[in-house]
Amino acid sequence: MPIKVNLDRILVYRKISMTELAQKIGITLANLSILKTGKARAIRFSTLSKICKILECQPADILEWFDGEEVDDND
Amino acid sequence: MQNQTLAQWIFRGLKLLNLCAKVVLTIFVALAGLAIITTFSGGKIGAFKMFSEWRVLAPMLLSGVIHSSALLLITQQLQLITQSHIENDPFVPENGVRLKKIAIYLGIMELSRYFVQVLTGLIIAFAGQPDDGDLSVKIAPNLVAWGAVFIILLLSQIFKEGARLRKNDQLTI
Repeated sequence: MPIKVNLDRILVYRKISMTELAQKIGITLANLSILKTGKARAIRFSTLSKICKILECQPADILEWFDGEEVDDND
Repeated sequence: MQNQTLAQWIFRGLKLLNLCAKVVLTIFVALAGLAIITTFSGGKIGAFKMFSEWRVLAPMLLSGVIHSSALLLITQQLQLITQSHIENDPFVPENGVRLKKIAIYLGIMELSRYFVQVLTGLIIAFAGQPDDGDLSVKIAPNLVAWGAVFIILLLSQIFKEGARLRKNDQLTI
């Protein structure tokens, strides 16, 4: 997937742990981990909005596009 | 809970059907073996004289072996599908593949019926009618069978798509 999730960097910058963020957003740590490791296929606007609100950042601070291989949705 | 119990009963029924198919296939294979022995002995082996009419026997055995093999394979696939339902996870891509296999086996079964009829026709044409029997050829497409093949293929595609959507949903955060 040519979308990189830069959650690590912002979490360090904001000094918030994954567990704390997961609790504040209201999703499981496992799901947040899927998002952080780039295994997620999609992210809901509502989740993105909550992350941005808690981390006080913009979506572009979290998501980054790079020229890579597209993943087939049928896989 | 009720669905699980029903699935377990279906699973048991399929297991029994699978066992029956195995027994029938074994009988047909054994009969084919006996028929071959009888043919090579020129019908001299007394106990196997009842199998000496190869013109009747050959299409019958061939049809029996093909149909019982197909039944065996179909029940195996159905068992796997039911097993996944019992384990509370029926919407997996594998079940789409299993349904597709079932459709293919049904198609092969139907095609083999035509093949056996053509074979019977060739036997009548080249070897004539058996002494104490009357072989006839009836090639008529079974629309119910082809309908079943089509519906199961369609279901396999729906299953495949359902499994894909579920995976996407699971990976949507």
